[in-house]
Parts: sequence; C-alpha cells; structure tokens
Amino acid sequence: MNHLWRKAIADTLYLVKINKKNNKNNNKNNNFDKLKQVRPLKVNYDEITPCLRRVSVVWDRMLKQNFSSLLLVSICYKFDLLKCSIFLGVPRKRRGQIWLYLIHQWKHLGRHQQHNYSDELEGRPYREILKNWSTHQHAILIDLGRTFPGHPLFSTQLGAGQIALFNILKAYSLIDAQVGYCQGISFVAGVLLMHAPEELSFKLLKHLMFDLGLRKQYEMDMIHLQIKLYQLSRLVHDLHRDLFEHLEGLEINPTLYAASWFLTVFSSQFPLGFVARVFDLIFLQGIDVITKVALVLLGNHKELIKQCQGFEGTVDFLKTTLPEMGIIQMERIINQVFDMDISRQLQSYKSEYYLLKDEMMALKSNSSTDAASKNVVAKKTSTAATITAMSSTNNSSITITTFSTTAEQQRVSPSETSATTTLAPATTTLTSATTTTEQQHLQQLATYCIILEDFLNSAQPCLSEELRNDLNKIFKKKPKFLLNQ
Amino acid sequence: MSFQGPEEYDYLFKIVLIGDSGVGKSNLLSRFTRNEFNLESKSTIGVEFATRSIVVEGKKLKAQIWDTAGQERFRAITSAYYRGAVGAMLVYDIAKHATFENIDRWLKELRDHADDNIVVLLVGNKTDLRHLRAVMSEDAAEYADRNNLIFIETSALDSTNVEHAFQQCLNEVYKRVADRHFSNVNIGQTTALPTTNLQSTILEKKFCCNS
Repeated sequence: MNHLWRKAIADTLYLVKINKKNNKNNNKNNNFDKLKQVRPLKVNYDEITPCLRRVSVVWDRMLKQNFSSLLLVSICYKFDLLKCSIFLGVPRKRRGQIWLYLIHQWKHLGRHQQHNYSDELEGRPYREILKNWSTHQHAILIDLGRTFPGHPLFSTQLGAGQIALFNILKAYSLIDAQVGYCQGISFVAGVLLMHAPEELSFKLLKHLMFDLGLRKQYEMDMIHLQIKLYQLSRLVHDLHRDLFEHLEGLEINPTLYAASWFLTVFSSQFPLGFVARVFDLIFLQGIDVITKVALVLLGNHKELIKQCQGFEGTVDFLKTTLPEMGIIQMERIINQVFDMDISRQLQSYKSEYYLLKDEMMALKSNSSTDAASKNVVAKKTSTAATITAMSSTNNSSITITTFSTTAEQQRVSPSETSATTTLAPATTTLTSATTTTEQQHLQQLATYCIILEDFLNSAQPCLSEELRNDLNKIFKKKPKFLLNQ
Repeated sequence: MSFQGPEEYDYLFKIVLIGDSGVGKSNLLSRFTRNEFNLESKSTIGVEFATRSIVVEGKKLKAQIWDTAGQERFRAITSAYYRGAVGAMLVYDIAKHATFENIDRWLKELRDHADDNIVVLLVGNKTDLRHLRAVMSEDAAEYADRNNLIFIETSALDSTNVEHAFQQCLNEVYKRVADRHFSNVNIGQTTALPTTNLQSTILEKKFCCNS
C-alpha cells in the first residue's frame, strides 16, 4: 500500500506543478488564438531548400491576405501558386504560419470531413479540454524527457517546451479516445511546437491526425502501420527489384527500420531541416508523402545499401548512416517526391493486404478438413491470378476491386486521393469570375502571380540547372497561372 | 561497424529485452554493448538492436540483443521478434511498482510467442534510486522463484550488475544449448533471425506465385 500512496503523491505533485505553470502561462497570453501572434520559436536548424528573399516576399503577401471567400475554382488556380512557392522554399521562421495557411487552403478545397472526436469534447475550446483528466497522462509524462532531449525547447525538465508538449498530448488523448496516446505522436507534436505556439500546434496536430488521417497508424492494433509497411515493401519490389531481393535475402523487412519513419514522420532520426520539409509536403499533399519519401530515400541509396555487409551492417546503415546524408541528397529527395503520384498503387496494395490477410486467416482455420483446404487452394489460385494481373498492368486498382469486398473499398477514405487530381484547368477560372468580390480576389491573385513571375524571370539565371529542370518537370510547361497574365 | 567483414564466432544468441515503457531497457542495452549510459535517451519507437561478443568456456558467443518499444500496442508489430530468441530479460523499474505488476503480462507474452526453453531473467533496474524503492527485492526474488526465472537487480546508470546479468543469461543459454535444449532454433547462423510476421509471409507467398 505504501508504494501506491507514494506513487500517487509523486504523480499528483508533478501534475500540480504542471498546472501551476499552465495557469501562469494562461495569464500571460489570454488572447492567444490569433494568427498575428504566431511568433517564431526555436528554429535554428539547417534549412533544406533555403527560402530566397524574393520567394519570402511572395509568402509575405500571401499570408497577409484572407482568401477564405474565394470560390473553389479560383482555389484550383491558387493551388499551382502554392505548390510553386513551397517548391521554391519556405522561410523557417514563418513555417508554422504557412502550415496553418495550408490548413485553410485544404479546408477550402472541399475535403473537410466529419471527425470522430470523442463526442463530449467536440468543439470545446482547447483550454476547456485541458481541464479534464486523461488516463494517458502517465504514459505521456514518461515520454516528456525522451522527446527531442537534445533540443533547447525540450531539454529542461518541466520547462515551457515540456509543459506545452504535455498539454497538447493530453488534450489530444482526450479528443481521440481510440488512439489516446501512442509513442511517436510526441515527436510529431514536438516538431509542431518548434514552429507554432501551443494552441495553434494543437490545431495543426488535429488536422494531421483527423483530416489527413495520420491517426490511423497509431490505433491499438497498428494495422494501418502494417499496411503502410507492406505498401512500402511492395513499392520497393516494383521499382527497385534488386534492392528488394537484397533486403529479402537478409530477412530485413521494413518493420525493422521504417516503423519509426512512419510513426515519428522521420523526426526521431533525421535532421530537423529535412523533417520540416517533409511536413511542408504533407500539409500540401497529404500523408502519402511519408511513403514516397521512404521509397525515394531507399531508391536513391540502393547501391550503398547493397554494398553493406550482412544483416547487422545493413540495418545499421539504414538506421544510422542514412539519416546522416548530405543536404544536397535531402534536397534531391524532396524535389523528387514533389511530383510523384503513387496513390493508385497505394490503394491497390492496401486492398491486397486485406485480401491476403483474410486468406492467411482462412488458411489457418480451414486447414483441418480436406474439403476446406481444397477451397483454400482454389482461392489461392485466384489470388495468384489477381496478383499477376496487378503487377503486369497499370490499371491495378481496377483489377483489385473485383476481388475486394465493399467494406474494404469503404476503408479507402477520400482524403487519401492525391491533391493534384482536383486541379481544374486554370483558364476557366478567369472567365467564370462573375461577382465583384471574386473579381477583387482574382486581382489580388494576379498581383501575386506577377510577383512570382517576376521572381522566376529574374531568378532563373541564378537557379541551378537541376532546380530549373525540376521546376520544368513539375509544371511541364509554364505554370498555368502565368499563362493568364 | 557497417563495412566490417563477417566476424568470427562460435554461437550467435538472440536475446530480447522486454518490459514497460521507461524502465531502462535501452540504457541496459547501451551499457552492456557500448558501456554507455545516456540520461537524454529518446523513447524507442519500433525495434533496435546491438551486439557484443563474450567468451564462455573457450567459445566465442555473440549476443545480438533486441530492444523493443514498451508501450502495449507495439506488441502488434514486435511479437515476431520473439521468434528465434534464446534468452529474454524481463525488465521492471524498482521505483515503480506498476512496472513490476505488469511482469505477469510480459511473461505471458513470452510464453505465447517464444521458444519454450527460452532462458528468462527477471531484472529489477534502477537500483541507484535507493530512496525511491517501491519493489522489495524479497518480493521479486520470490516471484522469480515461483516462475522459474533467474532474478537480478541492476543499475544501468552506475553499471551495477549489468555485465553480470547479461553474462548470467548467456551462460545459462550456452548451458542449455550444450545440452541440446533448443531444437527449433537455428543457433550459430549469421541470419538466425526469423522475420515470420504476416508481412514477410505474405511477400514470400506472393512472389512465389508470381514468378
């Protein structure tokens, strides 16, 4: 009994301390939730694709305006501008603000979904949510000192950073009862807190988890994490067969090295500049970006990976040496991911995973009787046929749907379709502008476009050939919005 | 380490470290394999491992020690790593009674997924926190006795008993191997590491069908 009391007292004391600090902070910033008050936090990392001054000017102008009343068609047009600006670089001090801006854009693209927050707390203000007690508090406390322990924001025990981290993790565990707290989320929240104040970081976290669907991989059964690892294996198999065979030969599967890539969005191992860039892309395009980055990361290093000696040497390379790659390597990876579309493959491999899993279950439970095993054999043949068909045709998603159940199809949520597919031809935008407010907005947009065009013209000679090629590849021709000027 | 040639050893033993989150598994591993302790260590997300070789009765034993995330839901992805393990260290924190109470569940996890003859050590870590002790040595020793476990208390911070704990585990494994207790485990192969979770089974099967 004694120890239970002691533990209870220690825990309570700890929580009281946190509460006190919270109250102090509350009094300091009462009207917190204003974009204007976003202040740059601890962002002293080396930037990947440093943002040039001319691009900064474009960002400045964009952030100052409120685009909320723009119609959807106009936003398609704006998406090009956003994509181009992000490609050219994001100023690290305004990164949090830009992420929030991207959330607004996302919501206006009409992909707002019904959330499954815990009912009672839905819509309550952040500070209200925090007043509740969470069963995950203890697990969160354990990880506070073990999340970016070397980073100045989080290195002090119960310092401002750790308190903020505790608060948003606790608040999140309260609004998402199914996930609660899972190790890995603290790193994601930590990255957000480096770029935005607590309450806005919580908003960013909610967006990542619910709107973009990151939360699924943290669910109790971790089935969605396993799907992602399976998809990665399959993609490596399709695109880098030699690497796949090398890793298979050593019995190294992605669970061993890529679980933390997904669960912490690379942040527990890779440099922050790289991680921040991955976050930029996620806020722009969705969470498939993580799989794409993992795939390109492996593909670009496959010769080095194949040179490693044995199981241990290879795993050590993947876990320790890969994150130490140079800035140019990292920049190249990000640029490659920018215009990559694997949504179709991801969808079919997800269905494939469920299909094969069901089959494995059937194999396990039915193997006792002869009749049943014949049935399984028949089923197995059909699966084999499906898979052969899938790997030989590009329209794999069509093939697979004939075999997957309706339930499986429903699992594929609309948020997972690539953002680029919603792009409509920008030319229609200008002609369809009828109302005066819309025309006003379009005029503003045109101003940004001029700024950007001006930038592109003046900066083209300064850009490296590689960057210019990448830009051309992304837009194939001159960016749509520039054609209209 | 990455570009070394294959090293010589007589046996490769896989040992798993399990126990609740925050009991000090990663630091026990780094203390034994690199003689390091890190007050600022990160939470283990997924699976890590490290190796060290020791000599027992003139034979070179290479210990490959696996460290997994302690949070319960991670067992969904880590359970495959018990397979092929010949030794396990069930770690709890002597200053947190709840971590000792959970040993039952970890033991069940082992019984479900690991070889029946696996050598199991019950390790009470963080003995440097004397003033905060919440689990009495006698209670733990009695528990270990009841469940046929080897019991030891360690401190990864001041390195008390860490070396001894691993030595004892490896000695016992060696003894059982010499007596041919392990029939299903491939000992002494460089790749004695089964990855028979759903994922690799699926892949194996599929690509057989495919070709």
